Amino acid sequence: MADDLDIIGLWEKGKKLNPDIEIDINKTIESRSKGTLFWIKVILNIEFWINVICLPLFIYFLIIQNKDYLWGFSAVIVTIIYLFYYQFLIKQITRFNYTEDVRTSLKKLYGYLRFFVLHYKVVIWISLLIGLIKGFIDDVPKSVTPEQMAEPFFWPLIIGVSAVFASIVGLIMTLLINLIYGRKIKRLKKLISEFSR
Amino acid sequence: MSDTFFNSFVTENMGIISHICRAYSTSEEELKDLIQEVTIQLWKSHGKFKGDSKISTWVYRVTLNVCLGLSRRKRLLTEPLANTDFSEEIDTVEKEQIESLYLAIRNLSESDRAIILLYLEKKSYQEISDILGMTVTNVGVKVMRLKDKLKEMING
Repeated sequence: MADDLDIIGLWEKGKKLNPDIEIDINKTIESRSKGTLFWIKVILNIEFWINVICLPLFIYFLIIQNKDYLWGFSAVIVTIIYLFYYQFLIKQITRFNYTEDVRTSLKKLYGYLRFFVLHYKVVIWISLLIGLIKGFIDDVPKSVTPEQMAEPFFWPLIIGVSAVFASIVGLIMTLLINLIYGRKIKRLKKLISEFSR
Repeated sequence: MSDTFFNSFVTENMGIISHICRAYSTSEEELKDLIQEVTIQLWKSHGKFKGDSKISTWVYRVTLNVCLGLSRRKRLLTEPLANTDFSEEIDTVEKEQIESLYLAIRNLSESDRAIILLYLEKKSYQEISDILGMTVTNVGVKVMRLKDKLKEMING
C-alpha cells in the first residue's frame, strides 16, 4: 500500500508543479469544434445541400427537357430518400452524448463511423451499377451496329470489360475511403475491446 | 447551470481537465486543442447533466470521451507529458521519479492510460467503472496490473 501512495503522491507533487492551462471560456465555447463528429456533420450537410440542388436539376433536365421519365423519376425518388436519410444521420450525430460512459460513447462513435463509411461504399457501388446499366441501354445501341451486337462474343466481352473496369474504379474508391477512415475505425475497435476485456 | 456558474465551474475543474488532456497530447498546441474541445462539449452537454452521478464523474466522462474519440494523427512524442523543469524544492531522486512516472504513463496504451489516470486521481473502483463503462472487477484487476507495471517502469 505504501508503494501505491508513493505513485499517487508523485502524481500529486507533479500536478502541483504544473500550472493549469488558462483559457478564455467565453471565447472557447463560441469557437468551432474540431471533433470527428463535427467534420462528419459538415460533410453530411454538404452532401444534403448537393442533393437539394440536384433535385430541381433532375426534374428540369431529365423529366421536362429530355422527357426521360424512367431515369428522371428514379433520380428524383432516390434523391428525396437520400434527403431524409441525410437529415436522419445529421440529427443522430447532433444528439451524440459525450456524458455517457467512455465504452458506450466509443461504441456509438464506432457505429456512426462504420455506418458513414458503409453508406459511401453503397453509394459508390450503386452509382457504378446504375452507370453501367444506363451505358448499356443508352450508349451501346447508338455506337454499335446491330451486326456487331449479333456477334456471339459481343455481349460477354462488353459485360466482362465493363465489370472489370467498374470493379477497379469501385475498389480504388473503397480503398480511398478505407485510407481516410480505416485507421480511426480500427483504433476505436481496439479501444472498445480493451475496455470490454 | 447558468453561464456564470459554468465559467466558474470550468475554471475550478481546469486542473482535472488539463491533467487528463496532457496525458493524451503530444504538444502544447494539441493540449490546448483538446482542452478547447472538452470545454465546448462540457458547454454543449451541461444541460443534459441531471445530477444522477457525481459532477466529477461527468467531467471525467466528457474529458476522456473527447480525448479518446478525437481524430488525431499519431505523432512521435516531442514534448514531455508535463513540465519537468522543477524548482529546487524537489530533490533529484523525486524529480527523476516524477519524470519516470510521466514517461511510464505516456508509454501505456490509451485505455490503460485512462484507467491509471483515474486511479491516480484517487477515484474509487466503482467510480472508474462508472466513468469507463467497465465492470468493477475488471477495473480492480487492471489497476493492480498497471500499478505493478508503473512501479517496474519507475524503478527501472
